[in-house]
Amino acid sequence: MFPSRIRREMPQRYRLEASVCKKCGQRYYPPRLVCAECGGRKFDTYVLPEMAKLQTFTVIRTPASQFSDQAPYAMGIVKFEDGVQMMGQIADCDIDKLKIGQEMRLEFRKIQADGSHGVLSYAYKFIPKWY
Amino acid sequence: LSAIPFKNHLNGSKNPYAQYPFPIKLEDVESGVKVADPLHILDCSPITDGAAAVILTTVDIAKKMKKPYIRITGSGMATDTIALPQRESLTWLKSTELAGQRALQMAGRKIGDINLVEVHDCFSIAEIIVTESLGIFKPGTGLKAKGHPVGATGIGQVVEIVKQLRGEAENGRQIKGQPKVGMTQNMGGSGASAVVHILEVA
Repeated sequence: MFPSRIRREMPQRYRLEASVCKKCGQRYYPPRLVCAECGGRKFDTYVLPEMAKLQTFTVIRTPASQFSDQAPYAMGIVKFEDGVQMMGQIADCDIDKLKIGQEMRLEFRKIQADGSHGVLSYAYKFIPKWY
Repeated sequence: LSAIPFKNHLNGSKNPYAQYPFPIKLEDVESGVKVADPLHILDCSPITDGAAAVILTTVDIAKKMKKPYIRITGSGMATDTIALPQRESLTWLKSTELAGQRALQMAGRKIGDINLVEVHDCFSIAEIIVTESLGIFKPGTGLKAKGHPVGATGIGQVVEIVKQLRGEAENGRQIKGQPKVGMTQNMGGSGASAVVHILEVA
């Protein structure tokens, strides 16, 4: 991932900042510049809670090259109480015991390295609650 | 799920332009390398080099050509969010549903009028969700055996429909009963954009 993109996405990836449309109240993660519902361009920023529920998941067994040392790993979509959904990797878990509906905690983790001299990119991963 | 690549390889085995023109067994799908649960390698369309072309012209000029011509009677496009978590449903392709409705409306057709359809079945689950979103059952050939040269796939679908509507499909894969109305559905970004066309015998 380009360093400029890592820098640009820090608010959402590092601080879990989401946005809510001032006009219609639609919530977005990642934040948007224009509301897809009403076309509004003014948003308030808020921070997502730490807990969410697993909506669906898959286990990646043939990964993209930069994630080859992590396979097999689970990717899931989680839903927060306010209805916002996000996708991410499920870490520190037994992939055979994952269940839809499980509670997940969001943790700040390393996502990938851009070679041995490139920028490390960080963001959130989901950890099943019992871990 | 495994019945989809089985069927597409069976149909694709009769296509002289297919990348993998051979039938496979149901067990081959389930014993193949796992890619992402529940998809195995044979659920996924291959990486392909390929090209396809059509000649677009006016009806007046088409009438002077020696081959029977096919008319584009409907064209519909729709978009959705590219992020799957932001979609209304994970098991429905709303852009495909809307694009299909728009194309049918332009053509003055109902989904029941369609005799054959080529869909963007890049993965076996995609064929299921696309055909459900369009409201149609698909007997066709598919990207699995034919190959999926991303930039050429859309026109490749049109070429197949044109062959079928002209009654020129090779190796006994011509659909019986002289099909008159065909449909193509193509998409990108896991359905973030979808385009549907209706093609008819002139």
